[in-house]
Amino acid sequence: MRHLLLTLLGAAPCIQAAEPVRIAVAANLLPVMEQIARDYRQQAGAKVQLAGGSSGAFYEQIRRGAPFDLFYSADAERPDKLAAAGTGEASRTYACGRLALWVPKAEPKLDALPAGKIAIAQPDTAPYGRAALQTLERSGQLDELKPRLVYAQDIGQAYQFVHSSNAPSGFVALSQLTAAGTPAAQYARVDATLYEPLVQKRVLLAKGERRAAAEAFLTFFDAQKDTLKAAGYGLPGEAGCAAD
Amino acid sequence: MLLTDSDWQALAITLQLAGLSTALLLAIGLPLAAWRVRKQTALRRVLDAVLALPLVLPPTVLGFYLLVLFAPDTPLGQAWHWFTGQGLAFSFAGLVLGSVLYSLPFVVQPLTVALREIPQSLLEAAASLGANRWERLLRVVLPLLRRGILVAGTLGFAHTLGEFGVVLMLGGSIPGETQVVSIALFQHVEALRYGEAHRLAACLLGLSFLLLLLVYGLGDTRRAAPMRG
Repeated sequence: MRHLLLTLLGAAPCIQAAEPVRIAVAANLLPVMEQIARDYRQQAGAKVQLAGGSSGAFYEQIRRGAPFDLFYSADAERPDKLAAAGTGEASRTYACGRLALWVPKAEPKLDALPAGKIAIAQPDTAPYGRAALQTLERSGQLDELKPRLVYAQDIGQAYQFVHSSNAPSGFVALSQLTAAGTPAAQYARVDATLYEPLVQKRVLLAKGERRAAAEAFLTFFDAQKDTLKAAGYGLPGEAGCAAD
Repeated sequence: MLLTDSDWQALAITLQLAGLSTALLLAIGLPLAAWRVRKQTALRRVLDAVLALPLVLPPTVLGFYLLVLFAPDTPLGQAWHWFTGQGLAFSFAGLVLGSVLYSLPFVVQPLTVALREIPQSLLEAAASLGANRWERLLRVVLPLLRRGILVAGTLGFAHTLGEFGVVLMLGGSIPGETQVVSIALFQHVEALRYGEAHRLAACLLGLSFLLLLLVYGLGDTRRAAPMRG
């Protein structure tokens, strides 16, 4: 939510003649996407407009005709569905997410979570929430810890719950922590065998005259492998992240 | 009915939240309304503006501020933790506090209007017959206010039923504790469970309609209740 507000504030003064490419961005990708969008503006001189939120909500809106040109989802299922329905095309893996355990005020250890609430994203709709639930299940702690879980609408809100110190620990995206410059001692990568790979796909939605601009951004984005890697994502073709 | 167990649970939580909030709202709203009617001061105008803020602010903003305010390292969070041993965010108590703030204008406004309509002459007559302050309140003011209280209470209740943004920001969607109907409904839609979403929405729609019907049956057209929300 906070990221969304910042995005809107950031986007407000940049009204220009040419309609910028409009991109729906899953909350976990938003900080990196903002950086890539800045680089794109500097290098290609073209502007993009970002909207951050939960992939589930974006999927609903896009299905009902929301005017986005690109959709970078936090999952594979929704872009595939949009492509299958003909709403979009070229649904491809752009990255695999990495889950992290964030404990700001103690040592982050999966088998020794601090007392109090544990923030996770809603497992029903947010892939990182499902991965967090799988992690607790496979580490044999789900039954014990379930009463302490609080459910955020998306990974951005899960981050906020921990950041505001209302939840002493939480499962967030590694990319959020690196983007925020969180000290490495506060978080730990979750062992990738504890959850199903977080394959993230994007899909091209733009039609007609908007298409060329959207494709230009796609090409630029696909070349930003270092940025994605530094941000804590796995790249397609790497271990635990199958290429299409 | 065709609701799932968790939907019933959400409905129960919602009704408890609305009921408890309404009781608190009336307890706070009555003295506030009385104070607004009597004193014509600069302070009163400031209070009026503060009271109206929840009408104007997006509920998510209110929820965001409350979440920051509820954190365990703030004075409020510390006091609450000392008192109950628990955090205020993600708790039913936190939602009650949020709802009271959020619905306050919807209760204070009708009460203020109802209080203004009580003729001063009646109170003077009661006083001249020897009724003291408390007797005037119990025997004259409260009976005359009965309808105003019902309208204010119903509006506060109905407005809390429809609350979404505040709960979304500080609830944490815990089944049986903070997952209210509006949140459960949102999650059904996001998870593509349209059947459940429809049934729950129908419940909420029916309930809200009945409540509003009650409000308009109680208040006559002259003192039409505020409709924003």
